[in-house]
Amino acid sequence: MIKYMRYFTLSILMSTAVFTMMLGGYWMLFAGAAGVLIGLGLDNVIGDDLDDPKYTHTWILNVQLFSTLPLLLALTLAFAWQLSSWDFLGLGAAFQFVAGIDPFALRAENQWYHYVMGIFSVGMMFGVAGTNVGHELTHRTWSKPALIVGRWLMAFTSDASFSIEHVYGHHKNIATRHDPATSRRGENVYGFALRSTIGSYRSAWNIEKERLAKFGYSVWGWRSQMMRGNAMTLTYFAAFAYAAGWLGVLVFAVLTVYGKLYLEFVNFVEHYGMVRVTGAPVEPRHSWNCNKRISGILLYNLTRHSHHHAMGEKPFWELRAYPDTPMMPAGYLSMIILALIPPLWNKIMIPRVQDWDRRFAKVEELALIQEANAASGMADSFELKQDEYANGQAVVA
Amino acid sequence: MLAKWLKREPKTVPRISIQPAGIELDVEGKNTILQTALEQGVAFPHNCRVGGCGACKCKLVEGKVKELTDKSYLLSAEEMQQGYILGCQAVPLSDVLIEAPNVVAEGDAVPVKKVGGKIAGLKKLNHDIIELTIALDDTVEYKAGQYADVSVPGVIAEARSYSFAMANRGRPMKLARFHVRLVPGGEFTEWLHNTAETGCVVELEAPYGDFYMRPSDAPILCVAGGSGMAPIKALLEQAAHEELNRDVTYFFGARTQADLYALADMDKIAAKWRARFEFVPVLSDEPADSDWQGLRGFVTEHISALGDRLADQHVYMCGPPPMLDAAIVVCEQGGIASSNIHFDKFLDKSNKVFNLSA
Repeated sequence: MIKYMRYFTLSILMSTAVFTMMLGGYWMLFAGAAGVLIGLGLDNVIGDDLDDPKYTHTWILNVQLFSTLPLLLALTLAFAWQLSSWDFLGLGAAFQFVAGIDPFALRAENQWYHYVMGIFSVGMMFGVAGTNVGHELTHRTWSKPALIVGRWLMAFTSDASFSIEHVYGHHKNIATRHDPATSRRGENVYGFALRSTIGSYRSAWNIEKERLAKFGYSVWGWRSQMMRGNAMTLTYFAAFAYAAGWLGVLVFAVLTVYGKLYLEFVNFVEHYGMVRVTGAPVEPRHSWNCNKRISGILLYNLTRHSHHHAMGEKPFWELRAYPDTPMMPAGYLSMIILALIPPLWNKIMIPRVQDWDRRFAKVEELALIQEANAASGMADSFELKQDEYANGQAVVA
Repeated sequence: MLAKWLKREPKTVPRISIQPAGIELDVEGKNTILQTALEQGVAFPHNCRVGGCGACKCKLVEGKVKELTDKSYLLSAEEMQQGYILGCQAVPLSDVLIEAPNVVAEGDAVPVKKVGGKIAGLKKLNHDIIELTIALDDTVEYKAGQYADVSVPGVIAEARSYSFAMANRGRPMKLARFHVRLVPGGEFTEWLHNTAETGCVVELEAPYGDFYMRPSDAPILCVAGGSGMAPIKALLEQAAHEELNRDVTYFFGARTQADLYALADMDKIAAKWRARFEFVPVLSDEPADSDWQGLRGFVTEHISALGDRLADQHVYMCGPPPMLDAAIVVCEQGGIASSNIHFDKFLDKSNKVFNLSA
């Protein structure tokens, strides 16, 4: 039973966050504070989860996934209500009717820093709930409802085109130079976030453009998933504009960028320094894995990333722990904070990347490793016989 | 009514026939073609498994499948019209017949065996490449493009990998020929220089590798550098023997004119070839004032110069990793699917080329 129930954690957290968001003031920090306490504190105390349970009632797990969209929408609109100076969508009256608390009086007490806390909370949920569940659902290319819900979830972070680039780009190109979403050796998280954001959008654009061209349609037209995705994001912007005018637009812009950063930070820690020969089958050793129990529960096993990339067709409940893969030393939020301090990140991760070179890399990847090391200034952890590379002409001695 | 119900046949599972390998597989549950093949030990080409790379592309000849993704992301309009599908995204709904030329039947795979032999010839082909001919005690079978591990009993235990440098025309061979590049200080080189002579005993283990010509009508682009000439030469000789009717462009990268070799062999193939055959040496370090009339620079520049023609090519490459890596990138940028790029890196052939320092 617990194996099903535990995945309600995020839904319960979010439902509570919707309620507390309407209380205004410091309560707007609830989701963010809970996220930090659970994802950073508890995660490092609780330890690993190496179980690979079998699920028969997978509909429960689907309910959990699909409930993310209404919950995140409610949380976001509640925050927009806090920003507005009127009863946006009648949410205040509805809340008063249901909870018997006067949110208007509470809202009048809000200070600017309460809104900063609100942004911290909502943006974190854009990342944790929006992009993560959006990722899980947009993988289901065979299911229209899943794709639509997934893309609306991704649109919170202005990233509905993720559904194109991630499946048809990232999963094909992972750990190669062609992948915008694979962080390279020596790269810091800030430069990476920018490169990946721009590169991924451009890649999605090109993939969609090529697809539409096969039918004689333009990527600028209404059939374009790029245009439809942009329209989804504009809808959210419009809601905030309706609620709170230009201030609303500005706040949603901050939220969408901040939420998107979570996705890029996660990309950074999942793929740092990995190398693969273009066209070779993707193996578990080509991504950083994480078996921290709390990270796994909150992120619906996104943490089991080694298996996810090796078998992208599996739903999250079939992902295995794969304890013998390249392993992150801590949970996801801890890794992100590590990444935000590049000297610390390098100190902890470069030895692990070198360990990967020695224990996981295959012979055909050594040349790529040398190239990546040369570009990053990282030392090689192995020696290739110089002869093999004399004047760029390999030799068979 | 009752009789009809009683006569109803038990539910059957869909069956996949893979041609031309002639493999038959029963589908378990709602598995895809790729999952079915891999779970039953059939080496079906794949890479991403989510419908993003096209490595598992195959042609649906008969039957119905449920497709799990919008294949228009991957396949061209013509391919979709011709009934191509993605193996990883196709769940059989009925018995299906698919055409997947890259799937090899297990029976086709020749078992690897050890064969002893004696050196029958040592011939200098240019300043640093020697043609090593070995008379074998027993026959070996291989596909042109594959390689052998060569060792010298009692002298060099650690085997070196060399590609067969001539076509076997489908016959078991009692003669094997390799191109060996000389490296100052190299153990094998020293031995070739100082000790080796006709009659010396050597040992072969073959065949290895999945580098060989795949059936298709597409034009062929070959790229080689150094002794990477060997498997390409074998491939082309074999294809010429089979009277293949496909255009060939073959870029051979070298530093100077002194590095060129096997030119007469290329002329022979060209004379026999039924379609267009272009052998194009490209020199990177030839002195500017020499009498060289041919192309200069790196092969990659000249590959991209093929422009629109590039996307249709099926590529076969062998040579040093830096050159191959660059060429693969150019080919992919030119629109060639990775499943149509076949290569044999020197590094792949020996698993003993690096030392771990820690």
